[in-house]
Amino acid sequence: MLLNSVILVLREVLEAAMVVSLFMAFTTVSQQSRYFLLKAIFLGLVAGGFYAYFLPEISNWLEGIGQEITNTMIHLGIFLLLTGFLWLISSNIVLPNRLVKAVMMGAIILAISRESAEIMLYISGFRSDHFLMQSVLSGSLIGLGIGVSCGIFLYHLMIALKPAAATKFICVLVVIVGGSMMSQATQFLIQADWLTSTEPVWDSSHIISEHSLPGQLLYALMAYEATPTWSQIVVYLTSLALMILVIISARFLQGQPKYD
Amino acid sequence: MKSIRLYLLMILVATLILVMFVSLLKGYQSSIETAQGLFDERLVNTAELIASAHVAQTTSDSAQRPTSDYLFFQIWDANGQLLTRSDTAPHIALSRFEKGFYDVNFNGFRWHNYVYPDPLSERWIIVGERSDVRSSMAEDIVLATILPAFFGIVIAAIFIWWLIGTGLKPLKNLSRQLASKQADDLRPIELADLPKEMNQLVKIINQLFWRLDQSFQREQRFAADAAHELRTPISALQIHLHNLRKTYGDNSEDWQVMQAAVNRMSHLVNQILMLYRTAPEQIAKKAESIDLYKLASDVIARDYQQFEKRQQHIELIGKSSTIYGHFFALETLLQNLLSNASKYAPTKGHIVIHVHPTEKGVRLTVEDDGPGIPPDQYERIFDRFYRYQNENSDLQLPGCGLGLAIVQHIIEMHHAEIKLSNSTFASGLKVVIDFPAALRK
Repeated sequence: MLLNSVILVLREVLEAAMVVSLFMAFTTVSQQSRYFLLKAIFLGLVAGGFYAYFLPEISNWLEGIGQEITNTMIHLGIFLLLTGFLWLISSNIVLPNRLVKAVMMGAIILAISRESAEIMLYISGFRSDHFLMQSVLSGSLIGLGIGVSCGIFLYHLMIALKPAAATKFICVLVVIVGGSMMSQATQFLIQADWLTSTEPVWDSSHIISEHSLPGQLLYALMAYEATPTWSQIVVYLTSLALMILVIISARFLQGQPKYD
Repeated sequence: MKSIRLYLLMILVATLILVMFVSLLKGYQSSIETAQGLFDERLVNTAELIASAHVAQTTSDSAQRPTSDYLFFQIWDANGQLLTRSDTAPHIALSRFEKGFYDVNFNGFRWHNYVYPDPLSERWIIVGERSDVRSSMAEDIVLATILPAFFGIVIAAIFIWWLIGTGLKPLKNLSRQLASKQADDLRPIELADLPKEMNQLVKIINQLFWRLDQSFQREQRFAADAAHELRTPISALQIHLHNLRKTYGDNSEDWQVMQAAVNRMSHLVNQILMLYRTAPEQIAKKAESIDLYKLASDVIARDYQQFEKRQQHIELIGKSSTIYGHFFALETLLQNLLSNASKYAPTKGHIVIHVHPTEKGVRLTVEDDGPGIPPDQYERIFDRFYRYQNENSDLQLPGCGLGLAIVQHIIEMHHAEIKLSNSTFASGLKVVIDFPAALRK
């Protein structure tokens, strides 16, 4: 039970930590106050509490696929906000611009609300079983510790770079995380039977298992699946291409390169 | 990076958590495997024990034996006949009759079984344990070793915080010493028990202080010497010009231009001397209690001739107001402000000076009814050698553009605030200066 808890919590925390540390690093590199990000984290946790509380009801929507569709919408929302973020900074609209702040806050609130709701629901499922609760809490704490530590390392890795290089690196990671969001949205649609499930294209579990720490890190970064389907691959690559296109168009319209 | 201490704490605790938790997970996995191995061994022993204890009994002894909820056993003869069982076991064989471990489901749980063929009695012993109970027992044992690690991390974080603070103490001491230095204190820093990582830093700072001190001294010497040395030939020039005019009775335009140029040069040298004498180290050294009202009155009395020459009306309003400052600097400030007011106010114009105490210190106001200055020029007129020339006025006023720069300089040294606005007359400039009661050290 401890291992299951570690894997579940680590997966959720890493995903949220990735988005938060990317924006934290961007704010630090832009020499702006990080207070609005802390506010977004708090709001995300509150929203997560509400989402977890109403999830049983939400799950019954659309003939029992309400949760899957809501999760798809949340991931799509994060993807759109990340794309908006890339458009803004590629158009030379940077912090402390209000729109940039709003986009960053929106992405953090959505990411944290979904991930924290999953964790809250998982832990609350063991409320009545004191026998397992200790294992679940210990596992959750270990998953949380590893996830947050990875986020801290990623943040310090990015701010250790020169500002121009850090901004480029952040953009690359935002593109990859954006693709991961869309890939996960596809998974939810397959679960909801809105997309047909096909045979896996490959099986790389013997190289990197989804349940290992590197597997979890890759999942948080790029929605790593040892056995992906065609629809996931197509959606992932299309999302990446779309975000890159957004950066190029914004720079083209801007008329000059921004970071150099 | 806002704080080295916070940065080190975060990065060290994150490293500690990552390394410790990943090791804990690895340890957990191997501990669980070991515990499962021990439980399997216990099942084997139980089966062998049941076989040896039951060997003398016959089938007539067959009865349901009470056992705990998570354990069962069955004894079968060679023909597949159930001889006896525990009350938790079913009547059917839960595994095939072949020696080994098996996992089966019954009674709503998953069970881990061991099938043991007893060669002496030719019977089959099947013993089993509930898998979830086995896992929980194994986890309980392992968790007992994991839980102290969580508290250990909290304690380690507190220790790391304290140790980083201790390690950064020399840096704190250095910063405290630098912060407590007076503006004129360029003596080298002396710190006891300096760690070798900071030796070079302190050495460079001290070298910088020494070079700064040398360059200040050179600058002061140069300014003072140059001004002093220039004063003598300028005075001689003024006297000889005067004598030449008397001798030849020449009052041509050329002579007037030359006279104005010499006067301007003399004024410039005087202002440079003032600028040197109002250097921050001079002010800090010689600060004293000064009645600004009385000082203003003295300055007006001394320079009264310049107002009288242009038939200007000058008025001093207020009462005794004491501030802590540098006498010569404040005298220079008043002289420059009044001289400017007199220069720009028209003949028969008005100049009003207010001096009165406020809640925070003393307020000095100087107003004139001259042409005034447009608000967009307020910032620029404090620049050195910048002179504002009114576009609508043909009046060519003497001056070198240092007067208000010196005023600004003196204000900064006294931590005062200056504000410019339109005067209460029909036109003109109003200068308001708020002095704090005590000069901050």
